[in-house]
Parts: sequence; structure tokens; C-alpha cells
Amino acid sequence: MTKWNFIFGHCVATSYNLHFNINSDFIISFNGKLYNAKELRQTLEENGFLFETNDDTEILLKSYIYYGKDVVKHLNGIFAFVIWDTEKEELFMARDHFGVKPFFYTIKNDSFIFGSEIKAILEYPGVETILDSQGISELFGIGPAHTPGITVFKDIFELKPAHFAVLNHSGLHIERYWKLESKQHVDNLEQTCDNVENLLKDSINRQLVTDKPLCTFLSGGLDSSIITKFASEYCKENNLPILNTYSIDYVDNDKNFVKSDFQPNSDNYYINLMLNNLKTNHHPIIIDTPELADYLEDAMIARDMPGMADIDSSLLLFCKYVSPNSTVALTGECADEIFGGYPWFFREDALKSGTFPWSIAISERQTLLNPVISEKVDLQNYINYRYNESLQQVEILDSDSQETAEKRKISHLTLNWFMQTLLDRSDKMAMYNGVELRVPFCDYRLAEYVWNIPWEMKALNGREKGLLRYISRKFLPAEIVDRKKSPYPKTHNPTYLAKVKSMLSDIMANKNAPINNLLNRDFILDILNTDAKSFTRPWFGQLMTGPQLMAYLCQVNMWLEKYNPRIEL
Amino acid sequence: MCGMIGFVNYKKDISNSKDILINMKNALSNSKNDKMEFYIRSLCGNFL
Repeated sequence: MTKWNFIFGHCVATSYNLHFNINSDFIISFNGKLYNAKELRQTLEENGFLFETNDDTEILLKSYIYYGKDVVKHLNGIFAFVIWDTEKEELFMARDHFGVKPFFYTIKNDSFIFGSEIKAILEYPGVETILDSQGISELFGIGPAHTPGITVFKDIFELKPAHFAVLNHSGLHIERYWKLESKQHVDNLEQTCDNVENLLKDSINRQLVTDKPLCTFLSGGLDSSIITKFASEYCKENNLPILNTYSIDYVDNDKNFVKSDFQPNSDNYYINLMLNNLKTNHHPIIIDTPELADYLEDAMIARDMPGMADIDSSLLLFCKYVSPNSTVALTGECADEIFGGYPWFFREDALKSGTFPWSIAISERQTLLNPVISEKVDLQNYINYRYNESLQQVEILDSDSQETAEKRKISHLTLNWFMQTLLDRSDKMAMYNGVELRVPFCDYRLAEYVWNIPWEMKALNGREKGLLRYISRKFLPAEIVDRKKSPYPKTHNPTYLAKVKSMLSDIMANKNAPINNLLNRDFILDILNTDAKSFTRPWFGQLMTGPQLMAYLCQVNMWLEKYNPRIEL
Repeated sequence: MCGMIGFVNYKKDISNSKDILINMKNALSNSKNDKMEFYIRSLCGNFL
């Protein structure tokens, strides 16, 4: 039999846990953190395994030796890993339940090449950046979200969340190991509240375990306040130093803040409410326009594609300023997806839109394509295909009310597409600065339980995240509990619009700029001349309007210059 | 930043491919100052 040859590598920051563990039969490379390492180790020790370290990597490898491929069914954590099994002559790979940790791969000239980032795979000789019809549809129809398993580059793939893969002489075999299963919810309100609170507390407590400097991100919203409240208590109960908390704001945002339905108030008042309550060691980070614009390219590089413009670069900068003092941060992300916090869960027009409700400007997106490309790439058809394909995976029970059934569909889309986009953003912007973001609301056990709570209970009192608010009322100030959802803050400083407008004008002044080959020059000039008012709906989500659209177009040109994809239609 | 990188080939001797791995490592975001570990197994033997 032909012998396999392989070469693994990884780089290891001093602040992060990623190591080889080698014995004669197995080699492992692991990126992530196990939140149930203690229980795994105990089971292994009870079954005769001895340990040389306290490292998650050793626990994971020995768990694989004990459970085999079923190891993935025993893990709670954020992870991507590969294990070479010498006896079986096969490579085993897996990714965590929600895809917090990335894993990309391609096959070229009999080689299977993998990496945590696409840019690393592109270093392998012969791997090209090709943008075909699907890639263009992903980039401009679906982006900055992406279809699970697919990247914008032809023949470069991601291992989907909750999947494992085996590579051996039979080829590459990929299998799903977990999904949210629809079951009838039998608990009453009181039991449901107890269970949610216990699961959430357990998730937070597990994710607070670290030997690295720890912090939480605090916006004064419901979700980050819950995390910070429990984290603060944990620190006190375990005689740990006072919890560090961080918040983000922008220079002159207090003067320029503009209320909207989506962003009804700014964070500062609510942050102070929590600080008075918890007495954490708080660090406000204030970001200015020039750096926000300067880091658009870094944010694009971190994602390997144009992303969410300054919504990305601000998080990247935020993590940059956090990283000297804290390298593990807990955030309130994913509560809106798990508990139904977004406006589209409630808006009839969004529910009946027949498309992804965070990305409704399809005709504008199509117009943005270069007319020559637009003739060959039909974004609407591609989006319809992906949307319907995804909805077919939703399990509706006979016992579901009509409302619960409808909300299962929108929840499924939100969890598999929108949440993945935000998790990609968080991990990439944070890891770019060596910060590990942890997301307790993303605990798969919590998600499993909440998935089956009837909508009438989940949206208790007709409110977004009504159940979570109800539970929180006993331990958070009422003003925090009742605060209307406010998204991640963006800059309202007019200097930012001026800055990105100037950047985009400079790009468009060059008729040979690569963006002209891909996108509609006249439409972009129109966007420039109208301060983006000619693009009437947000590009993505609720925040990517006006300046963010211009910044996104700058990122597209930066991406084309750096990655130089060959267009193949 | 840390990250995983690697490749597997069942036909070629890749024991001289460490440079490719180093290039892949250097491409990872913010990896310049991070320590690199690698492991090679090829037809010619194992290298750590």
C-alpha cells in the first residue's frame, strides 16, 4: 500500500493553547478550547489513561483514542483540529458545533491542503484565486455572509460547522455530527426559566476558566450585562482579581448620534448603570475616524474577503486595544440569534420577504455588478436557490403552532447564516490581535434547549428576547432589562463619511482600478455623488448604509488588488 | 494569532516541503512573532 506523507504545522502565540501532541500512533494539531476538559479527563482517567500535561490538546487526543470518531459527540467547546491516525492511515478533522473556529481546505495535485485561514492555503504552490459565477454570487449576492461549506474562491472550501471529515485511501468523507433537533417542549414557564438560567450560568462559568488575563465586553445591553454580571460574581466567589470590562465608542459620537428604530439610544448611560452595580475595572475604548478608515484593509485581510467595513475594523481595533491587558474575552454575541432578538423575527414584511431578511437589497446588488458580468450572473436566482435549500432543512413538528413553525424557519436562517457571519467576524478580528473571544450564548446545550421553546414563551410579553428579559429581571437593573435592543455601535461622526468618500473617490479616479472590472462604475459614481443615498436599503443587516457602503466598496478594491482573483465565467 | 496549517500527499515525498509550510505559517494573520511547531512524516522518515 502507498504510504501517506504529511506535514502539519501551526504557530503558537504565547497566549494561546495550540500544540502538537505526538505519540507513536497519533499526531494532533488543535486550535481552540474545550469547556468540558475536566469531565473528559475524569472519564479517561477512570478508564486507565494517564496524563503528562494539563493541556486540552492531550485531553482531546486521548479522547479520540478512547471514543474514535464519536469524540465529537463528547466535546463542548470551540475547536478545529486534525488528527493523524497512523494505524488507520487516515486524517481525522472536525469543527465545533457552531463553527466558531475556522477550518479551510483545498485539494491540489494529489495534496490535501488545510489551514485556519484562506491566505495560508493560497501560499501552497499552484493554488489559485479564481472567482467564478458562484464566487461572484457569494460575494455580492450573499456576502458578507456565505453559504456553509463554500468560500468565494473556486475549489477552496470550509469544513462546515458541526461536521467532521476523514481523509484516507478511499478519499474524503464528510459527515455531520450534530444539528438542532426539533422536539416538543414539555416544561412550563417556571421550569423553562430555571433550565435556561442554569444552562446559561453553567456555560458562562465553564468559559470563564482560563489561566490567561480575562475580561468581558460590556455595552450596557441585556446580553453583555448578563455575561458581565455572572462573570463578576464568579471572580468574587473564586477570589480572582476584579473583573476587567471594556466598551467601545467613537470620537464625537455623543455629539453626532442619530436615533433610529434600530439604534434608539447610545450605550454610555447603560454601561454606567452596570458599572455602578458591579464595580468592575472598566476601560472605555474610544476610536477615531482616521484609524477606523486606516484599518479597513486589515479587516479585509483578516477575513480574506470584503466584509462589514468599519463594523469589522472597529472590532479589530477594539481587540487591538484590549489585547495588551486581556487575551480572553467573553461577549454577549449570539443571544439575539438564539433567543430571537432581531427585528426580522417580528416584522411581517421580513418574514414574508422570501429571502434572507438581513440582505433584501437584491436588485441594488445586481445593479452594482459590472453590466458585462451582470449578464452572466443572476444573483436573485442564486439567492433563491440557497434560501430554499436552507429552508428545506428545517424540522417542523405537527405539534408546533403556526407561529412557532414560522419562527423555526427564521431562526434556522438566522442561526446558520447571520450568526455564522458574526462569529466569523468575531473570531477573525479578535485572533488578528491574539485575543480569544468566547461566546457563552453559543453553548450547544443552551441552543438545543431554547430551539424547542415555543415562540409564545420565547418572546414572552411580545418582546424580543422576552424570556431572557423575564429571567434577567431578578438580577439586572430594570432599565437594562427593558432597554430596547441596540446593535453593535457604529460611528456617527461626519468625518468618517468624508474620509471614506475621499478614499472611494481616489479609487474611482483611476479608471484602471480593479473594481471597475467587477462592478458598475456608473452606479458607484452615483453612490459617491449622492452620499450613498441612491442605494436606498442597507447593504447588509441594519448598519451597513451610507458610509459603510462606501467603505465596503473600498474594501472590494483593496481585496481585488491584494488577492488578484482571476475571473472565470 | 495562531492557526493550523498543513498538507497531506500520498504520492510525493514531501520531506523537503518545510519551506512551503513556513510560507503558509507566515501568511497567517499576525503570526510573525509566534513560535512555529511542525511535524513531517514522509516516505523518508519522520521529522519533528
